[in-house]
Amino acid sequence: MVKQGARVRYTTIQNWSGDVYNLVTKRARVEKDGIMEWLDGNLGSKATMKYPSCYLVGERAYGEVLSIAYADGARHQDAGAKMIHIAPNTTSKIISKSVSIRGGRTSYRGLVHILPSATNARAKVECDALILDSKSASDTFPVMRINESSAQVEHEATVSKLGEEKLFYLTSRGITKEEAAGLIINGFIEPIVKELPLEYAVELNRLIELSMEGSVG
Amino acid sequence: MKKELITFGATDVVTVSPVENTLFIIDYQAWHAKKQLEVLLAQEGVSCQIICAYKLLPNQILDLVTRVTHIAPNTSCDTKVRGVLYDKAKSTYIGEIVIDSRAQGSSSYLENAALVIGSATHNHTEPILKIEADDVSASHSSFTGRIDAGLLYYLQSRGMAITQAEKLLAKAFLASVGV
Repeated sequence: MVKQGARVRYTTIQNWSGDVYNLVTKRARVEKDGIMEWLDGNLGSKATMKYPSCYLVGERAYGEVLSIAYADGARHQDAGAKMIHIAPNTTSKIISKSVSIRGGRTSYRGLVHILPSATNARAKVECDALILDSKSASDTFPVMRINESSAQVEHEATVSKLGEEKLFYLTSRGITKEEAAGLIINGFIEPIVKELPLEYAVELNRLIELSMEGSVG
Repeated sequence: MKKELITFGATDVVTVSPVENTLFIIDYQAWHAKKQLEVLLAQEGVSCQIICAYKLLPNQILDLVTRVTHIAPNTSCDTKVRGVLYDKAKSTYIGEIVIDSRAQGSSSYLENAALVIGSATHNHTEPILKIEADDVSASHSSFTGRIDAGLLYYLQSRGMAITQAEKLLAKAFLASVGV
């Protein structure tokens, strides 16, 4: 519960064992002028289904979800976010970055729901996915229900692989292909990692580098 | 590029599988049932474009699904759906892009934009991506919003009435799709 004028940031970086089903419900109710920020890092676990949500019930409430999903091997990271705009002048932002490798599957599942009472609501969603080999996959299932004519909602998503030019540039500078791939991935998730406390960011980067060993070439 | 007009007529689902580069133009009329266009890219190297431009007058409804499935390598598709919504109009659009593991080297883009001019409108959009291949490029974007107030003000400052200015900007918005 985020009361009037308050700010809450809830950060989790989870690296569960490969036999764990990680099914989570995270909801926040945000009152007038409140700010709610969910920072969500999902690694490991056989299956994750997690969609942090914000119910923006007060005027000028703000909700944000920054989510990283890393699916390595037989894992399915089904993450996303839900923003429900109920009051006027509410705003929200969702940024989701996902990486799938060695047969992993990442899915983004999101909802932006603007109710008729949410005049002048603004929402922005960006989801980007990297697929690192031919065995891996990625899905995006965003839903936008806009029932207020003064609202503005923007959504964009991309799915791609590691750029050959970027890999070539780094390897031409003497960096191994694996290290180059790790560097590019760390750059890819940097907009979210920079928001993490230092110890979490270092841990996350190191986990990804360890996971990348032996994965390229 | 070959041009093909898609009119649903008596059927709610139209399936096409182009063998050459094709532009599909969806001919919108005031629909009251869901209409679905399925495009299957099964021929290597084929590209297609799908365009739909619609204007929903007060109380009109659009319910459209487009599904583009890539199963051959080096195929590409560009989908653009743009609409203008007046009072109490209801628009539902589901745009699905599926790239199979056999379709390496393919690219697929979807752009959906809805310009809201009236009030009490409903717009439901689901742009979906299902990607099973790695050497591909796929993206989508969706936008819903009102006309930029600055543009309206500019036209009004040139002596245009607000309804006339809205009509002109709506026309330009739809025309930019290329139909």
